[in-house]
Amino acid sequence: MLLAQEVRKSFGELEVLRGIDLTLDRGDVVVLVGASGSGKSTFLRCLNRLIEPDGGRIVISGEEVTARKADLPKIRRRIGFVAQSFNLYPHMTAAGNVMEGPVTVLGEAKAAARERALEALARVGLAAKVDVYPNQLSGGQQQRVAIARALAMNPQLMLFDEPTSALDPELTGEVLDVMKRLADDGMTMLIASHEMHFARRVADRIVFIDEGLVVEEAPPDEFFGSPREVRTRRFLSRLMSWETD
Amino acid sequence: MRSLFAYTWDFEAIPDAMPLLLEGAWMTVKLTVITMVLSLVLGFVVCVMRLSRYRALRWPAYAYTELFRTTPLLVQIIWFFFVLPKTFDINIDVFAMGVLALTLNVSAFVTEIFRAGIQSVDRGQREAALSTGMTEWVAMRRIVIPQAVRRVVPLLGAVWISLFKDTSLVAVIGIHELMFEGRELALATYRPVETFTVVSLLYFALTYPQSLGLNWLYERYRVVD
Amino acid sequence: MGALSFSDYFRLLIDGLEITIVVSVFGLIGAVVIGLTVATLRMSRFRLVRFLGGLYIDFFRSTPLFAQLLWLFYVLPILTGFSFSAQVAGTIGLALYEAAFFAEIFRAGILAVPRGQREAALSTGMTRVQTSRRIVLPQAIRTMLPPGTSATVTLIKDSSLVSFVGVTDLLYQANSLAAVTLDPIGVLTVAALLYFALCYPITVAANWMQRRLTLKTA
Repeated sequence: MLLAQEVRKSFGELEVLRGIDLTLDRGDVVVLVGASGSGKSTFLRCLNRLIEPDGGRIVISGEEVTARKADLPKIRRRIGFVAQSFNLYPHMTAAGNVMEGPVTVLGEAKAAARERALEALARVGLAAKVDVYPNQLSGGQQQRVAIARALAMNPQLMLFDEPTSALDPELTGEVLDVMKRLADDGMTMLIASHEMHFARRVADRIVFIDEGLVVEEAPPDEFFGSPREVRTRRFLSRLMSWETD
Repeated sequence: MRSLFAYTWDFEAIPDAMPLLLEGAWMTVKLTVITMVLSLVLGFVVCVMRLSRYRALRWPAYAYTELFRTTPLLVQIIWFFFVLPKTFDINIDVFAMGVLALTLNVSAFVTEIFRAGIQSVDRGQREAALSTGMTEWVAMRRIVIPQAVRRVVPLLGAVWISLFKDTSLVAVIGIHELMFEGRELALATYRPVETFTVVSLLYFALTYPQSLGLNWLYERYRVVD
Repeated sequence: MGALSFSDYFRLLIDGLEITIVVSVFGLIGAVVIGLTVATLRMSRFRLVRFLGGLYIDFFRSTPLFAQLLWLFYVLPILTGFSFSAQVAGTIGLALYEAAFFAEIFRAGILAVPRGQREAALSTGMTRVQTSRRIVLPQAIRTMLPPGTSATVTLIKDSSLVSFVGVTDLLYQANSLAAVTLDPIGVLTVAALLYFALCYPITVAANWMQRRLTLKTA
């Protein structure tokens, strides 16, 4: 489903990604963890080439994303992207936001698109907020609309970049619930997140990235229970030091 | 386009006239400096009036700023040219008239800049200062005004450059600044094209470095909200 | 000229006002079109194009409009071989000058749209053009409206300069009348008030827009 080989990216002197290797099969739910600045956001944005990688190869659903002549808009339709800052279009309602992709990109008829938008919003629990503008929604609601918007394109792969990091603590739950249901429904998901409890429950694998490289990759039990690498252990202990388990 | 080069350019008269043009440029500078200084003072006074608690002070200040910012400077200059001698029987020389008109115009803009600058400082700042026991005036002086200055300085720089160019308008009432000298020269030599080309280049040579300086000012005082 | 009644000279001023409005409208259209072009140049991927755009702005903002109008008035016929009416030359000069200011306003408006908006649009598979048209521009225009309206008021005020290249606009009429009537102050005051009546409503609209804009993004 997804193949990333030796993905590299530098910003000037700073080498953020030093050769990331990652493979996802259909239906996999993988959580990327790592300190801030480890390259998680950059990597996710390289996958749909919002950021141009300096080196490496990315193949998604058999399509060479990194090919010179790659049809980027076409490829991006198959990939759903949810960012930390929601990025809802402020001049459109919730339904408008969700409909925008299908209408403008897929050329769907407005009536049909609106129906599907209503369905998608109902799926994320926002049927009541269909004609509301983003600035009247809470952070959690906005993020859920963003997820519905990405789902409206029927993607084969969903990328999440720290989806709950910008939310107040009591609002993260509603977003994580939606994400869990998506995972249960069989969506292929790659999620960069700090939410360790979520990762432990939902992920098939956890990938730890540090200083631009994949340090460790393992199923949750193994990752949290008996991590192999020293750096992983140090990372976990720093993370867990505030948790009263 | 061919005709531009087919035209016989004749800059012969220019070098001799340079001293005169440069004198005009110097007058431009003098006008700008004097006007700016006066405008900062008047602008500050009117701003205080504008933000005052008393309607009797606020209203005239508001009327003044709106009037002088919404009518053309050229109209204001000519208006004063006619009004002063006739109505108030004041016979001052054109230079003073020019400075008066320019100052009244620029001060209106300066007032607004000061006002916006002060009001743009986060209300919380003033609250924080007052809750440590400072008086209103001290809070203004130590906390609000220093922050307002950062926002105000670049805008005043822009006003300065606008003013520098606007001095060209007082040529119409006979002040011997650069534009006036240019027009005289064009008339005398029958070479308006060459004359105004040189005049424009002179303005450019004076203004562009100031713009670069203004950009530097913008960078230095940039407010990160 | 014989004795002019108030209604006579008022009518002449109104004639001048009409010309002022015509010059301002066409000047504005020209300034917006040229300004948009220059702004696009300034945001190009190519360094040379960006530089050329910047050159235009620096050039036209570094000399007084007065000098530009006089220069253009004499040079345009030579440059193109046609003779231009003062009004056309004046309008062109006004447009070229104000375009430099509009260009900056347009550029700032587009840059003010958060990068995340472009990202979101592109990641749904929109092309660059679609992203600009559906997502970036609508938001940019909102930001551009208040400063754009102020620039329009400035343009109307600056249009008064064309009176000195012989265009019979409001100031021209006021000047001519002031020279011959017994009441130059009255004439000039009415002229000033007419300019005020033209510009003030637009200023009010600009302020109202500015306030509405800052409230909405809160």
